[in-house]
Amino acid sequence: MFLEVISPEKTIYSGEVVLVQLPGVMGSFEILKNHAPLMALIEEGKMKIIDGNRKMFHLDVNDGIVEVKDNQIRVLIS
Amino acid sequence: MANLREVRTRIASVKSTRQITSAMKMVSASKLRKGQNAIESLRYYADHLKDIKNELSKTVSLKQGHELTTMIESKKALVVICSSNKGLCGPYNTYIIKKAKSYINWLEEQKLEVSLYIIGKKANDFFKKHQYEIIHFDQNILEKANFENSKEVAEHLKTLFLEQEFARVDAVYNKFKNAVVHEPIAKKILPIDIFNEEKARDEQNSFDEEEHLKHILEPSQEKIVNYIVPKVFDVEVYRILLDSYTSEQGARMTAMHQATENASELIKDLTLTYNKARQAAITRELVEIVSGAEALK
Repeated sequence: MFLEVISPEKTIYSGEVVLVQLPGVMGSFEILKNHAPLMALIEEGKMKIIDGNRKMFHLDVNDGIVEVKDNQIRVLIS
Repeated sequence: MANLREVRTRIASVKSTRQITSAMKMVSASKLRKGQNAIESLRYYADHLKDIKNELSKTVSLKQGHELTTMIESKKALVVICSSNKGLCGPYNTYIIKKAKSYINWLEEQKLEVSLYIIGKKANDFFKKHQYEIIHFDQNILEKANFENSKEVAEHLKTLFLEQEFARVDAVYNKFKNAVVHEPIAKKILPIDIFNEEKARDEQNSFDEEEHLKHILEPSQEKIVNYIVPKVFDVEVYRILLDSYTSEQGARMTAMHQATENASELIKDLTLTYNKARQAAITRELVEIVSGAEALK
């Protein structure tokens, strides 16, 4: 899966990941490989990412929108 | 022949002017680079936002109108004009004012009452003198144009549009092309024509609607549309401010580059004059000494 986290001012993260956990407005949710196409709003909080090297880390994000399609995850935050 | 001392002072003064213009050029060049990077990042974000918007228009019908995309029956129009606070940037402000004036005339021909929302001192000076109706003037936003600040401007414009019932909001600004080329343009920013292109396309390909991927939408289609539409507007306003800022720096850099070159040219001419005068003075002195010595024999 390829993840991109983008704000209007810079690209915050871009790379291969195996798991992403996001603070959705209806509660936290995780995205794994071959997730169904999804569009969701997220709120301010922490994003959990496990990258291609199985290393886990967190990113602080504010409100935004995430789109998942064909194993491409794009998180647009403001 | 020119006075030696006079020429010397002029050379010194032109030299110090050249130092200033060349420093201003450097400053603008670095600000220009910053602006260009910001535009690049924003473009990346805006492209993705547009992708999502397009994707959304495939999955859901967007017939329901958002308040920012709905036309209001009204005789009022608001024009946002982006100029600079400082001069010394060539014809940058002249162009923008000319464009704004002709655009305002065009709107007035459509029987609209035009109010102005001005960013940057230079346009404010001009339009105040010519007694246009200015409802807001902001001179600090350009120097600190980041997304956070431009969101405030966007918020302000949205409130004006919704509460004071403007039929349309337009922006006149310099579109940044590259360091030397920028083009003054006028563009409608509210109500947003956001889904028009999609609607037109949807009517064409309505038959393969079934083939489109259906996204899971969370929390709801309405909430997502309500998030995306204002976001598109925020991004638009930010882009306008960035384009203006970057074009201004580009214009200033070009103008100051020209000024520095002119100063160098002038120094060359003056040095030539100075040397000629100096040589003439030496020759004259020599002639005096020689003829004095001659006379003593």
